[in-house]
Amino acid sequence: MGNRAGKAPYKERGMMKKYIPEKKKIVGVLVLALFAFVLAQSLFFIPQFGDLDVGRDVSSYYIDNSLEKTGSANIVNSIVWDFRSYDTLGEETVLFAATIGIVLLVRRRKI
Amino acid sequence: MLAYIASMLLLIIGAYTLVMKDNLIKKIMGLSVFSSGIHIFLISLGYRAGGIPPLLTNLNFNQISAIMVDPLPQALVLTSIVINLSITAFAMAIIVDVYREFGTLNIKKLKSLRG
Amino acid sequence: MDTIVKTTARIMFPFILMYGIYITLHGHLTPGGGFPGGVIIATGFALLIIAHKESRVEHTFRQISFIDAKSIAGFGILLLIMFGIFFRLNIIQVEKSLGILGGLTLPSNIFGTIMVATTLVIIVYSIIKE
Repeated sequence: MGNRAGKAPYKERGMMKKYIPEKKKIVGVLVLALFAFVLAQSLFFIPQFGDLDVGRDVSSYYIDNSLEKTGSANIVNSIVWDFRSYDTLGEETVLFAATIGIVLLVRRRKI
Repeated sequence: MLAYIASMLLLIIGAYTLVMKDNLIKKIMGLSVFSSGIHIFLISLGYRAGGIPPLLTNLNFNQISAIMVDPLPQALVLTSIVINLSITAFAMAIIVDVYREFGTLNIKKLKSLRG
Repeated sequence: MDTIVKTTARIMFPFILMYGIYITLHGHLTPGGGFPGGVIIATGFALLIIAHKESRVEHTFRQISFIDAKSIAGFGILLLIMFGIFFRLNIIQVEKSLGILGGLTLPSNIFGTIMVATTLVIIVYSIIKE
């Protein structure tokens, strides 16, 4: 059931064979090119790929005290479930809300 | 430096698909690609040259805080992946309802329909 | 679907389940934890849902209620967090030789796995079978 008519106003007449883009698409491509240019400019301000001098104080505390206070050797796991467990609780709430929303939305209507 | 270029390529591809495509399902896929680009950028911010994964084993018990990679962005990205999954699933449920109601998934045709 | 797909799904299901439980229970020693283990268990269930026809899947799902399991697991996580805040200094004993039992991280992993697995099974069942 491919509805070819109604795709663009000038195609219905069947006279134009070349692909001439609409005005909105040109503006869209220009805006995306500007976005790409700004992203590429920011490559000069990022610090080197290997060295790391931000966030050392917080991560040092987590690495040094992970075995004594939580008893788990996996540091990422102890961060997610022990040091920052409120974030995990909020994420479970988001999962809950999404589940209830999906179950209510795909119910078959009896009309 | 290669990781940052890869993440920016993913951002550009995701933004292009989100804005320029006409189908609704393709737009949601573009949103997911965009989120993947952001996750890769966050994780590669915490890399240390010549580092080891943040696990405590029998081999590295002393002086471990100096050579491990940063475990904090990895924990935050875990939460973000799950929330991105919830958003994609919810958007797909809305799309199923839209298709059942209007019969089409094209943005240009949906604009001209008065339900 | 075909007989080949159905038989393969039935054979693969216990192995996928065992792998997911292994990743969950070793969450405090190796990389992994609650979330990847839950996703793998949900993959095993999703394979069964897709391979069988609708009447049989609906007959099985009427007996098990997944939203009840999800609510119990969520309540368990809330209890664990409140327990950890008030009794942090006195009760947790740590084995210095990287033993098997690991404080309060192990029950949190199990509850998190149940929550994620039930969520994904409910989503897959609602979108595909309706």
